[in-house]
Amino acid sequence: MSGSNPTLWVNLDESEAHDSIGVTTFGLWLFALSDAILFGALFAAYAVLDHPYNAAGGPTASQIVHPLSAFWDTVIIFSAVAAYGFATVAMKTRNRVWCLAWMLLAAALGALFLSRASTSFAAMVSAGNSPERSGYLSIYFILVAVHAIHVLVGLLWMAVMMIQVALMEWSEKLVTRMLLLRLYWTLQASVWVCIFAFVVLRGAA
Amino acid sequence: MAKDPLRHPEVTSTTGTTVALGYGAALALMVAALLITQFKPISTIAVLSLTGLLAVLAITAQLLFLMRLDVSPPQIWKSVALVLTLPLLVVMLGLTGWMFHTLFVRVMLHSVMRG
Repeated sequence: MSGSNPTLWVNLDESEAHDSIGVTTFGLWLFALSDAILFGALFAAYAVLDHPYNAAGGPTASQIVHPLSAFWDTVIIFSAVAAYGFATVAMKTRNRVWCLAWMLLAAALGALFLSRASTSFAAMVSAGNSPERSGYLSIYFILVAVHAIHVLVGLLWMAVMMIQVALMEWSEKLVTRMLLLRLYWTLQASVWVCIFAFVVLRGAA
Repeated sequence: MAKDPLRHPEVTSTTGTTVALGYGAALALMVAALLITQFKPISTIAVLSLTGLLAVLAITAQLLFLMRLDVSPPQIWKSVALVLTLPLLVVMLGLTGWMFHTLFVRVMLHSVMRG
């Protein structure tokens, strides 16, 4: 055995040894997958309760879904996600003005999506089809509302990020936060695809 | 010397083209699903299967073009985590559906419900 000590730790440059951005986005990705499990549980409950017996004499899916209207919601939420994607492309070239403009468009589209969801809920409730009307309506409202709450959280997050983009330098913290929001915001479009296909189109089929 | 965060692979991998592709592909697939449901050129069960498949493809397009998931070193563990999570979702949805279908068949009074 030689007299020299074995190397247990190599003192690398910190930026090479630790990908802080990658680790942080992976953390949010794990949250996103957990969130997907939450939505999976809600979709499982929806699949069980989407039966005429669970409508308890109230409306069934075919009577409350409107595929064409829901398709416009699809266009709006997809456009909101694409707008934020273009904001991150503008970030890549340090173009603060275009980044903020795309974020503003994404936020406006997200707000429009929420406004349409609220109007739809209000119309259903005023017609006597509130969540307590039947098991089916309970899960319908919960599923769609949980997604809407996610969009609302995304909007609040985007408002905070717009302030930070306007005021801060393109630091590692700011870039990481922009990437985290992109991941979260894109997930909302993926969840909406499931709602559109398995709630709206399935109900209308 | 600190690295420029804007040169991180997760930043540089997104381009205007990838965003447009993700948006266009997902939207086109949803248009197809809507048209199939509205005009019903095939049986109901085929419509349900096809719209489900189109939804899976739309989500795949979003994962590939908007979230930029692939097997490159910066993204491999996200892809692995997704692949490991998918069976959990399938098992959860499948078992729940199977359990309640069995419960419905065995427990409910079908003759009474039919009047």
